[in-house]
Amino acid sequence: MRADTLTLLIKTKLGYGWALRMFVIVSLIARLGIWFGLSQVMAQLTLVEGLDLAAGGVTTVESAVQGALSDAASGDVAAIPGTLLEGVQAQAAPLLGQLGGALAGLEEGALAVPNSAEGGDATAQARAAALAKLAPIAEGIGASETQLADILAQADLTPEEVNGLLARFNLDPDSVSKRLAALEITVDEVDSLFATIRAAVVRAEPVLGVRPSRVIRLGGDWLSTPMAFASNWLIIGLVLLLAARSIGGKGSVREHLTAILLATAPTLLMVGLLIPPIAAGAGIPMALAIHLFARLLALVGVIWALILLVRIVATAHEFSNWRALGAMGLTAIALVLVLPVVLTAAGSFLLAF
Amino acid sequence: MTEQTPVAAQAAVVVRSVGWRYTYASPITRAFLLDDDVYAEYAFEPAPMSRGFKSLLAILGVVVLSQVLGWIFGLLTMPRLGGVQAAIYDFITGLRWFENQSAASPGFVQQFQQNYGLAWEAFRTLIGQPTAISLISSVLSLIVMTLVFWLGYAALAQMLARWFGGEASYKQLAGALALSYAPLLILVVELWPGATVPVTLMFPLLLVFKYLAIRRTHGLAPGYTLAATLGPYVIGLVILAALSLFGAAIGLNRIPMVGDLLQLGGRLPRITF
Repeated sequence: MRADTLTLLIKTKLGYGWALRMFVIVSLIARLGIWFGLSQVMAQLTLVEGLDLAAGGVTTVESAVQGALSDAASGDVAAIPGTLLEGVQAQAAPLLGQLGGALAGLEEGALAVPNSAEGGDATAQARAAALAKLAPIAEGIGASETQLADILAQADLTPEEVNGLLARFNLDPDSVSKRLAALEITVDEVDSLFATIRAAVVRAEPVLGVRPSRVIRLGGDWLSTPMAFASNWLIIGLVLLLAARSIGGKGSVREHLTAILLATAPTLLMVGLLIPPIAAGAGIPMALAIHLFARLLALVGVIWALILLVRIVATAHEFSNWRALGAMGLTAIALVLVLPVVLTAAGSFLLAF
Repeated sequence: MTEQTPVAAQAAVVVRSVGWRYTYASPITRAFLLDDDVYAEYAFEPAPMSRGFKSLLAILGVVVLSQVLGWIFGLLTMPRLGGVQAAIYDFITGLRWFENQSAASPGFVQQFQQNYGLAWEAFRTLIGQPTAISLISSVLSLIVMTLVFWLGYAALAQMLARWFGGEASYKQLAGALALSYAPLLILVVELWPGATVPVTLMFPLLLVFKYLAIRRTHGLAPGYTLAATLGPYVIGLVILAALSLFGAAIGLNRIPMVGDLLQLGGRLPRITF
């Protein structure tokens, strides 16, 4: 924040190149936290693993149903509920495991999950009603409602979501069922399709491999940070330029943009914001401490950046800090108040008949 | 010449002491680093339009090359869906339903193939997978649109700038404006799979560079320069809106019953052409 340093950087042509480099480096460092999510990215199932899991789930349900039918045929009616329950438990185990993992990773806000009996009953009733709506589809593929629910669960879909999707595309379960029936697909044909698709999916994996590709694309996302950051910051900076010039600022476009870029230096302190919760490894108190400290650092960074912005805009435009503050106030009013009002008024005028 | 402020005088001393590194940098690099003197150099040389055109081609060449390489690198990190597409196609065409449909309707197979291909193309676009069609269309549109916009924008901006008192010629402005496309070089980052440049960055950045080009070529006051920079967009939007609205109206009017249906709503007057 030394005046001579700021002046040197802002008032020379070399300063813009230096500020641009600094901005790129700072924004990349500020988003380094994205790499802490690498393990989660790597842990996501590949398409082949997802298909195998789905196939495994379907097989479990099929064998449970077949077992129950076999019990019924042999007259051992009492064993049917037990056989079915085993199948359902086998099906539910991975889901329960996922739920346990999610609970272990609870951070703030997650404790507000509704768990009252009334809420649970209402949800169950809504789910049953949504599933009943899909009964024609189940009939269309020759499955029971329970089987359909299991198939949907494997695909991470709820009956409500499927109903929502059908509604979005103006489809009703009856018409979908008729279309499915019209295709005249046999179970063997579906099995054959599944096997073919699996073989094709294995061959379809990226040349560099699924998980290395994920790392590379995560790198691309990280490299995009300066551009994403600049896209928001540039609009604010240009409105600030107009505001500063309107109250007697003398800075050129280059000088102003150099100043705007330099003012982002303290945002380096936002580096901790993207660190994911590590409650599972270090305990919830430690995760909370890290989370709060990261936010505190970010807050310090934002306040520091604002103070620096006042000083740096004053230097670029050769006026007092108070005028710089005024220019920032005008910018805030223009972006938060004037622009929405003007856009709304213009939109209303255009759409009025 | 205006008098230097104390701060600017101090900066001038710094510039002399540090040295002028960018004198030897290419004009495009200098434009990219907001050195607005380069616009004046372009505008006031013997063949400004030709030099500007060559610079614009150089910028486009670098961007297109990076897009093609980015497409290749993107392919290496994305699933190769051709096999899955073929497997599902074989399955569907093997169904009795497909046989029945193709027997009932002679054009069904061709129509199905077309729709199937389009659906997969849309799916690939949806998941962000680079396709040859998307690459060719984006590269072609980048080249054609940039060149058309360059000449069209220069014409409108020249008209406005002359109206506001500017004295430079069209060729001078067009030559300088060609350099204002230097921000397109940021697209080079898309060479890396997964990296993207938001349009919300590119548009305001191009505006800033065009502002500098117009200001240095015509030497207008900041307010007039801003008007000459934004004016072509306003004029272009109005023309585009007129073409879209009247084009749609003419098209709708040719469909029987549409006018009567709208009249039923009682909210629009009858439109006749």
